[in-house]
Formats: sequence, structure tokens, C-alpha cells
Amino acid sequence: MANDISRDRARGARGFFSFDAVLAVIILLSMVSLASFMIRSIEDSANTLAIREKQMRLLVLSDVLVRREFAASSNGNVYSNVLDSDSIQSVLSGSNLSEYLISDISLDLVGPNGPLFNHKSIGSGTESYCIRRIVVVKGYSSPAILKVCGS
Amino acid sequence: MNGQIFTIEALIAMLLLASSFILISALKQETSSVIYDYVLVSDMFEVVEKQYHFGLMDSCGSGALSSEITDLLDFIADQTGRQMFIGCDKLDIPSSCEPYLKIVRMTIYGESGEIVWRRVNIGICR
Repeated sequence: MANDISRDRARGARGFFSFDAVLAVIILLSMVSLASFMIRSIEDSANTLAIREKQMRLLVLSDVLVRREFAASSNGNVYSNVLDSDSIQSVLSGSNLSEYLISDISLDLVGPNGPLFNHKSIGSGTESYCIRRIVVVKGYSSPAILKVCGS
Repeated sequence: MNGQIFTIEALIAMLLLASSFILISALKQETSSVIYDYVLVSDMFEVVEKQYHFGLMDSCGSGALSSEITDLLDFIADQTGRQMFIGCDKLDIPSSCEPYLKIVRMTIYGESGEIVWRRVNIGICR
């Protein structure tokens, strides 16, 4: 009887997997999942950087428009964030906005009573990113928002 | 342990590396939105100083927002989804607003176009 019990115990202890092997598999699986997480994280970072680059281009473009191209000026002084309707029309008729490497640029100027002006460059893509700049339009007493979008 | 293929130290190092990745990606997203908000506040200073300096001076002196400044803040909130605040002299930040971004500038223009040194806070509520 005692011999049978000790034989069974010996059989049970032998097993199919050793404790070390199970532990190694667990660690290996966790390392694989960690590696895949890190790869996904790197991919996300790359995508975020690409989006950031586009956003920064839009920011630069909107800054150029608000502080220089569309800005009202007199006697050599340029008034940033004060837009001049004539400057807007003359810039858009002669300017090539594609030099900012943004496709499908659209510009909307919205006042409290509705849209004051909009312009869309040639392109069929959807508007992906937008930046809104607070401005005033020369000759109007109300504020306005210049919405610059691009993809 | 004979079956061990990675040391505990290596595992801890990997976990630390992974947590730093999470932290960096979280910080990146935060930075992106904050840059646009800084631009919004900077624009607000430009517009207020150039077009609304009378209203601002009245508001700073009386401690109550003038109607034109209130209209401006409402318009911006409507268009951008950001509730902004202005604080200066007697004009306090509203108690309903918990500022998360605040920029301080020292100049506004007076009634005759001269520069008046006044501490003005403009920011965005959370």
C-alpha cells in the first residue's frame, strides 16, 4: 500500500511541464506582448509626429496670413490680427498657397452675423485639420474668426 | 533556476521602458493642444489691445466686464468651444472659471493711443 502511494507521488512529480518551463513561457509571452506594445507605441508616435507636422504647417500659414499677408497696414506699420478685405482679395488672387505643402487649403472668415468670406483651393480631399485665429476686420467693429483648414 | 531565460532585472528594465513610452506619448498629445491654445490667447491679446482697449480699460477700472468684451468672449466661446477669461486691476477671474492656461502681458493702449502699463491676464477656463 505504502509502495503504491510513493509510486503515484513520484509519477505526479514527474509531470509533463516543469515549473521552470511554465515560468519561462509566461515570461516569454509577456516579453512578446511588451515588444508588440512598444512597436505599436512607436507607430503611434510616428503618426502623431506626422499630424503635428501638418498642424505646425497650418499654424505657420495662419500666422503668415494674420500677421503679414492679410494684415492691414498704413505708413509702413503692419497691424497684426487686423485684416484688410482688399489685402485678402489681392493676396488670394495672386498667391500660391501650395508652397506651404498643405493640400486642400480652405479659409473661412466668420463674424457674429455669419460668414464674411470663404476661399477653397483646388482639391477634392476632406478638411482634416483646422486652426482658428481671432481677428478683427478693418472697417467692421465686430470680431471675427479666421478658420484655416488643410489636410 | 535552470529554465530561466530572462533575468528579473531585464524584465523590470523592459517594464520601465514601456512606461516611459506611455508617458512620452501622453505628453506629446498634451503639448499639441496647448500650442493651439497659446495661439488663441495670443490672438486675444492682439485683438483686445487693438480693437477693445476702451472696453478693457473700463472693465479693469470698474471690475465688471463691459458689454462689448462680454460679446467678444461669448463669440469666441461659440466659435472655438473655449471659454476665455480676462483679469486685470479690479476685474477678477470669474469664480465659475478654473484657469488652466493664463498669460500675463503688461501693455494696453490708452484712450489717446499711448501705452498704459497695466497687468492684464487672459487665459482659458478648464
